[in-house]
Amino acid sequence: MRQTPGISVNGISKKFCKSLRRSIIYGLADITGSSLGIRPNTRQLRKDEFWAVRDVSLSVNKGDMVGLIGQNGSGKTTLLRLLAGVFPPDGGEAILTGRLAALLTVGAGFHRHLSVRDNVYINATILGMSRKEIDEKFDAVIAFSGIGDFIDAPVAVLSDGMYVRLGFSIALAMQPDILLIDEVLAVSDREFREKCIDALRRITQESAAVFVSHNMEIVKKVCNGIVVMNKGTVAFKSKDVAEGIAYYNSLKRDINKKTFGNGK
Amino acid sequence: MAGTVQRMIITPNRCFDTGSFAGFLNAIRNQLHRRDMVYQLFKKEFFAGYAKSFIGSAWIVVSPVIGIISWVFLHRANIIRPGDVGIPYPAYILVGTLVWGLFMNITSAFMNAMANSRYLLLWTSIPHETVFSVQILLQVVHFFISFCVTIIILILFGIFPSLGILLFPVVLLPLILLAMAVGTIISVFSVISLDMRKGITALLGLLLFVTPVIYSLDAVTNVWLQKVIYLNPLTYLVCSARDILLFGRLYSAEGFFVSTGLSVAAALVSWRVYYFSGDKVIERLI
Repeated sequence: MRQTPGISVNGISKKFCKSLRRSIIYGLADITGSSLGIRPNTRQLRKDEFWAVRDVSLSVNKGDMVGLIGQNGSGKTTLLRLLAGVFPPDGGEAILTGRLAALLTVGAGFHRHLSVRDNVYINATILGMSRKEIDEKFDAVIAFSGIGDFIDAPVAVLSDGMYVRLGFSIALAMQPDILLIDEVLAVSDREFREKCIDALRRITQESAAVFVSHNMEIVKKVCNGIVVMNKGTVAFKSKDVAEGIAYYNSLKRDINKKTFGNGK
Repeated sequence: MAGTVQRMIITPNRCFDTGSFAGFLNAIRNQLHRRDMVYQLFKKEFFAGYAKSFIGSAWIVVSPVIGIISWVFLHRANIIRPGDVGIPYPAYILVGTLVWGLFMNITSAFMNAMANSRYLLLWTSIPHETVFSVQILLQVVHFFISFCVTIIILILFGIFPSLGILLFPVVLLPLILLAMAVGTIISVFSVISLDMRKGITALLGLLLFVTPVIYSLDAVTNVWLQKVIYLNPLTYLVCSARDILLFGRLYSAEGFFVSTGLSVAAALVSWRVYYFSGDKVIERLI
């Protein structure tokens, strides 16, 4: 039976340790225990541990692009890493149905001294494409990135902007069912950003996507749902993106007021 | 787009529900499924290593030659007294250090695999065991090149390998397994704390001197050292591989099979350690 692509997250949590020394002790204890078949109790915090993500639930269906916003340290990247399977949660559950592309950074696996051509193959296979698929889409990737003159040059000669163009073009060629994007359009120029926004809109008609960004202009343009995170929890969730951004701005004002006072 | 829809269920301690055997089969399946990626990453590591070098891949040939020259120099200068090794000393050293190098290179590649692939592990959703698959491919290919160079040099010395050369890859298997096991366990623990990697690196350097690679056992007069060499499984694994190539026999059949058993046991333990704690290790790469 074919199931609809989507992401379903139910009460997911993740904890980390603030103290490096204690983290070593916990790590050694966990590894030894796990190797002996003892299931670690992940639900309780030990001394110096904190919840980086706590009891987060959300649902993203085909055709949805949910903007995940929040201040630095609010748990956005950790949540995305949990969904990408980078590390397991300490509580809750997530079910991802469909072919996943996790764009947590651009150009993952790029090697500076290898050619653009070689790097396209490396990066695209890391994202989950097969060699045959890349052969078919190679020309489209290069055309979209607009760096055709550098195809046989080492990646080291590309500027930061060109690097992002190339990385993003590869990811867009994948046509995934589930797309996780973490703040990767930041250094690209306006023209390329607009091109990417159009491409993202097209892709999300057929996929479920989570988009992390600090750029509210892009969030407003591409997202049709919003989740605001604060201190590891979901502070606000809505289909109304403008309302979510307003909430986030008021949250930021509150935090700044608490931190710096109101100037009086 | 693929016809079948993949389903990924993410829960805490999922590895315990799956079990280490099923987990092993899943890992193999994943690696086969993502073989294009494994090949691309292998190619990248292999060629990128020489990309900024003027003589490039010629280093593959130059490195073992420099190694032999240094051992022969130490021998001629009477710093090393290897005892009667039965064949010209450079040839003995050449094959011994070739096999020893395979053990050391795999151990050290595995040991550093997770820490060196920090970026890939934290910023992509690749199956984590990929970093080990790439390393084993890389080391086996490097070894194969060094092996071909060695055979050519041996023939130039007038020494022709025995028919045992056909069994050489099989005799190497337990050594490879032991190297993977040791490297994996250190890799897991060293991400948590650097102490283990530093300690083991120092210890591995010492191991060469308690394995009859650069000398023959006859040259050892100290009883305690003889005992250590006798109890060291690497003695049987390394020397059997060397002897099967040069003389067509195992160093000690009994020692070889006992050491093979130990290697298999170590490999099983290392998989268990990696499988149940690998995920926890990756979050500590942050």
